[in-house]
Amino acid sequence: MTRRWTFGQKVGAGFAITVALAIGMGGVSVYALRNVVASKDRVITIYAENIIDGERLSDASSRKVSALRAFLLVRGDENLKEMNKRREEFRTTLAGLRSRMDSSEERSFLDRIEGAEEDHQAAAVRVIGMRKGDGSIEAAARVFDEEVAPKRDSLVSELDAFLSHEVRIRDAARQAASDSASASVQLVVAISFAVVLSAGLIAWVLTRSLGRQIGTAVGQMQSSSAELQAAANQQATGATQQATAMSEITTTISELLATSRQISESAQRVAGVAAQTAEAARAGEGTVQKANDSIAGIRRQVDLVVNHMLELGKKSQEIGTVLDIVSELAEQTNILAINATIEAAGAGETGRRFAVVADEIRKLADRVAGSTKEIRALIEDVRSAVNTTVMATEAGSKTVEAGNRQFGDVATSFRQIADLVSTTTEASREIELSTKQQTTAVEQVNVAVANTAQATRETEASSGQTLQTATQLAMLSHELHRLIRPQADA
Amino acid sequence: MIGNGPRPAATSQSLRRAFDNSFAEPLRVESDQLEDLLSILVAGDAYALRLAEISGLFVDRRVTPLPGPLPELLGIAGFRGAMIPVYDLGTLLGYPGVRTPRWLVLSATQARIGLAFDQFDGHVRLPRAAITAEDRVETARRHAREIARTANGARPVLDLPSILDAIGKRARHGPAHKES
Repeated sequence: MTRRWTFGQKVGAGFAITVALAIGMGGVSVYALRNVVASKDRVITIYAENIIDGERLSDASSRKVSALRAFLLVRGDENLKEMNKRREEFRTTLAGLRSRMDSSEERSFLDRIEGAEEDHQAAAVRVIGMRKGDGSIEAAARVFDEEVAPKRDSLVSELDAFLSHEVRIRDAARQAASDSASASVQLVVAISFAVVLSAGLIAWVLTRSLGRQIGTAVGQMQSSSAELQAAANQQATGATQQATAMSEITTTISELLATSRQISESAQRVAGVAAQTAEAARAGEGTVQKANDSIAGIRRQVDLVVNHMLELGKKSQEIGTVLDIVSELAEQTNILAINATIEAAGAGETGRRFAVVADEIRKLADRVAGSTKEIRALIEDVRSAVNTTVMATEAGSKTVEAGNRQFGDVATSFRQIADLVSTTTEASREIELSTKQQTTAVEQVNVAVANTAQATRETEASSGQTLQTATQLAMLSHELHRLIRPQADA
Repeated sequence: MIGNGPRPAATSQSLRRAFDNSFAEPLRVESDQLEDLLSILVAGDAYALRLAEISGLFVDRRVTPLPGPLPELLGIAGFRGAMIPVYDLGTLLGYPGVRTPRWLVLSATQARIGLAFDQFDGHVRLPRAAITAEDRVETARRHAREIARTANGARPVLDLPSILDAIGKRARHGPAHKES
């Protein structure tokens, strides 16, 4: 997973690398300088001291020879002391040199110098002995020239060889130090070049990376600012519409307030009407109770009528029975009359009068039969009427019963109406109260809506400012994008 | 309705008055131009019988069934000490089915024969002119050669001698005899 570095981290990393390279370069420079200084110190301290000490050895040997000559001339003890002192100085210097010598060649030089000095000292001691004795100065001078002077020349020659050798070594060391310094300078220059190159590379990478990153961010910011501009535009439009809507809502709420007041007044009137209705319902309940009593009386009368009708039907049936007898009698009379007529006809002239009587009896029987039929028809009519009346009365009785029940229902309904009207009255009062509360609430809502409308207007103004700011931001991001990527803007 | 028609009290008075008046009026001689008829119903159809051709009218008389080959012979009944055969007039007239007639008449012939029918409809007296011969009498109404035009409509007048003749022929020749 690629870690996304921040600007500070990237710049810090670049500086850190550059500083690390500078520190490395400084370390290498210090190291090279120290090497050069060490080489020069070695040239100056060791090889110069060796040469100086070689010169000191030459000086000490010269002073020793001078002191020897002076002793030979004057035989003074101070000369001998001087000579010993110089010899001691010579040996001390030689010992110092030996302690610094590393190579066997130099030690060999020192060994030969020490041997030549020992030889010179031995010759000098013999000369000093001759002089201290009875020897003449001439003898001493001759011995000196023969023995001591060659030793002296040998010593000087050894010292010169040593000095020449040391000078060569010094020159070689100086050259080596100079070469080392040159190499260090080249190394430092190379490292400096590498550091400069790295710094340039880091700067290029940082510039490229940061430029791309900032460019992307600026592009996004430009896009976002454009979107913000569009959103601010929409918000401004919406705020304008909202302000219009709030104005309409305020108007509507005012109308609602007026309606609520009207509802409250109507509810008050409804409560009054409901109270009057309750009174009327109670009066109606009393009336219904009276009507119920009247219906009960009617029902009793109807029952009586039914009983009378049934009795009438029964009597009609009895009349029918009697009429059957009458009818049968008339039929028999008719038969008798017919038979009498037949018999009278058979009796001839004498039966003529009897035939008249028989004929009259037959006519009477016919008429009785006709009347019987009429009476039967009447009785049937009566029975039918009685049946119809009984049925009608029973239907009426049932109707009265139904009416009685319905009146009971009506009474119950009136009671329910009274209860419901009472409930309606209470509900109307509650409606009135609620409507008053609603009116108060609507007034509060009206105030709140007015405040909201004010806030909406402020929002509208703020939206305008937001739009202006978004436009400026878009221009700024465009300018920034142009600064970062001028080629993209061209 | 009860309220319609003559009142029973008035009818009774009218009947009484008519009956009394009949005896108060002078004796009238019956004209020979009048004919007495008995109106009857046979199987629901109206017929008339000449009163002169019968010797008696009876109702609900006990008829003792008599086993025999003639289906129209209902049985025998006693009339004034004589055993009279009783025939079903409906069967004789060609009406199918079995009936139990209530009424019967006795023929005025020498050999008395009872003819039973369903219902007696009354006595009518018509002028002879009201009884006319009818040539176009339906074949179903046998033994009817005349039509009596009464106040309640026309009704065939049964020819009792023809009926009795047919009974006699069937009695002599058995049930195989068919009337023409």
